[in-house]
Amino acid sequence: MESFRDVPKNVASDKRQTYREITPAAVILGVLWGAFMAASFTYAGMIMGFTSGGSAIAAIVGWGILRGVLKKGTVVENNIVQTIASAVNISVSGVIFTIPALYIMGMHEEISTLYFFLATAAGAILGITFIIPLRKQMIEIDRLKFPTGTAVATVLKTPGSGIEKARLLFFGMILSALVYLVQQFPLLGLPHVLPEVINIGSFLHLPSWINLAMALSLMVFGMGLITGRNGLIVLAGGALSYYIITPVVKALGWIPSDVQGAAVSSFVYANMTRPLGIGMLLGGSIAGLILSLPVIAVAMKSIAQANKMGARSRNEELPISYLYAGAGLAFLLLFITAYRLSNLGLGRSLLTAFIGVAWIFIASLLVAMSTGMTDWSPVSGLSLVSVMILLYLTNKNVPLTILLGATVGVAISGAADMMQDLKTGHLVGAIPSRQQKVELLTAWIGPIIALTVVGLIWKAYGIGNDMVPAPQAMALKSMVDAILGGSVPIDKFLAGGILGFALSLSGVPGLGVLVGLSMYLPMLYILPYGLGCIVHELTKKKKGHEFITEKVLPFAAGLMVGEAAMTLLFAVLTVAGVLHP
Amino acid sequence: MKKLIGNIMLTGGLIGGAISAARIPPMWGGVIGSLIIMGVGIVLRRRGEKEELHRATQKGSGGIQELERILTKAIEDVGEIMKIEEHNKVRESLSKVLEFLDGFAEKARPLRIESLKAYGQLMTAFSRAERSLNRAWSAYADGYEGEGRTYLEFGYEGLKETLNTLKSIE
Repeated sequence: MESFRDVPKNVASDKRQTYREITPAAVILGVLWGAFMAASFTYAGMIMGFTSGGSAIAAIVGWGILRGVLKKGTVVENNIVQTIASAVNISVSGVIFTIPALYIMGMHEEISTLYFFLATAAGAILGITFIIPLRKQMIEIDRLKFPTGTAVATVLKTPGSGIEKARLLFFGMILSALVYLVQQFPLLGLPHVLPEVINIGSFLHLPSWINLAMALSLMVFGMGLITGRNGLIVLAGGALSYYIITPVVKALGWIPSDVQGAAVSSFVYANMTRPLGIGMLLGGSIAGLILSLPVIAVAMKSIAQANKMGARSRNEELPISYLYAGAGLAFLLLFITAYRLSNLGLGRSLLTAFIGVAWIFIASLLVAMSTGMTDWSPVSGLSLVSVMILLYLTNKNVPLTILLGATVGVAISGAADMMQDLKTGHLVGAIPSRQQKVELLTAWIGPIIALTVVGLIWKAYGIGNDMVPAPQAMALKSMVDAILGGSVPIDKFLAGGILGFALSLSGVPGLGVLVGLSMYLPMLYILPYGLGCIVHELTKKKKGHEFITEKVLPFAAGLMVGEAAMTLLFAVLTVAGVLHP
Repeated sequence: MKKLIGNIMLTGGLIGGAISAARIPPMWGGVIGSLIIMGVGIVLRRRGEKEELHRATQKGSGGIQELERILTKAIEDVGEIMKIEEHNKVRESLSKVLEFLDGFAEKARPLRIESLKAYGQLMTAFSRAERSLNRAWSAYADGYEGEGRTYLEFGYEGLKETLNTLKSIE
């Protein structure tokens, strides 16, 4: 009997056979599984407020079907399965963060459904084309870790990596899935045994204004285990934000007197450190972009040279013309949308399209850098800035702003996902241009599914009520209200931007983005993440780099995959009506 | 020492700047003062890093010489692997080479201080070779020996090209 680890029998003896990579089986499986995840996460995301890329789960399903059922899957073929599945699924987060807000505000009928599709599909394609030169810069030259991409590569390579690594991967998966399951007992009508958050501060009898709570998430701990050193900067930044800035501003009396107890920490986070963090992220990434220009130039030159040499060179890169075509298409679509859906006039519509394209590029770069260094994606912070820019550009035209916001949201989620997939591809030796082409050909499917599910939910239950709270879209609506009400901390963004810019000049790559991220993220998640990073660094020091690769990496990948699989299972159970969160 | 002082000033400046900026509205005087401290820290840090790199290169314990040693050994090892017939053995040996090469990128990072462009060229060549070896590993793991051998050769040539790039930087 053929086992999971065996080389497929029909290819092992044939040395001349073409190596299976893009195959009909991989494409069909990727699209089907991606569509299934997209539908499940759209519904679950509007109820519970979370989504997931689902690459690792797709890789496991890929192995099961390609090798388990069809008996002929290869590592790079399965990589195509997970690439397509996550490309189809990833646009969900960009859609559910924005479009339901139009329904909640009763503005959805002002825009034709065709524009909904065009705007989100354009975003899906843009996110992929804009990162063509960034692949070389971030994966090949800057060697960013992309923890999810690394974890997925570990899953893909498991059958050939030996039994020890497979055991560690599965042990990690089962452990983290079990912990998540036990935490969700109340949803299943069982007693609450294990909390999702532990308040260390109250155990230590610390004053209530000191926030020392930690999420019990093995997935986040696993992310830290893979990230290592970069994550320590995030931990240090979090400590600066929560345990230095908060006490100092309290001692200096900079907090309104009616804010007391546990509300102090929340006030400082919401009004002081988080906006500063968003500014730092922007300033840090702009400085990073300027500093990386020589590297991006090397990357683009190398791609252009390979294309010029044509058949004489082993060209495995997507031609740079795709980038120019993508930018041109984006400009055109944004211009048509702005011109047709508003009375902005020709000049203002052109300006909106131009700044929109430039912003999508900067936001894609920032989100790719951030996920590459830490696995965290600051999408909600970037959405706030996007909405702010777009409201100004469109003369406070809210429906148009939200629609263009959907383009940006889908583009930046797609960029982050594509970079993770390309990192996985690098680690398993996939051909980058093949991965990018299949993403381009399939990424537009996700928005159709997500928009259809949103429309169906609206008809069946309504949106923004007890049944379908749509927390992310409600948050966007609050953002729009805050911006229209003039309560946007632009001075904090500016001050943070200057500090982030300066930090990125320090010579520590991405320091501005890392510190910005640490001030933007809640400490709840920084703590388990930082703990993972500390364990990584201590283990590396004591046992060496090889131990990290051989033991820690597969175990950490398992921790990430187990919890992710459970979130999908709970999403499906919610769709099926078994669970009622 | 310069690097340490630079780090301390950078951290101090950041803390001061973040606290000043956190006030509603920000204390711009404090932010500017902190930026000056950060600026001095950044200059000292970068100078210290450059000096460290030069010292390591002179001692032969780091810098370009160490990178040359890593590449030379990897080229020898891949050359040996190319002579092996049994595909499971090839995959096992290749795993060891790939793990050994994992350290190359971290050791090459200080070159960024000298020339970002040169570092970019070096890592482009290296990553191409590494990806070829990764593909060879996957192909051998899947039993596609022909593909594995082809990419093993690409990886071997890629490592040689990386070594030549490194020598041209030197």
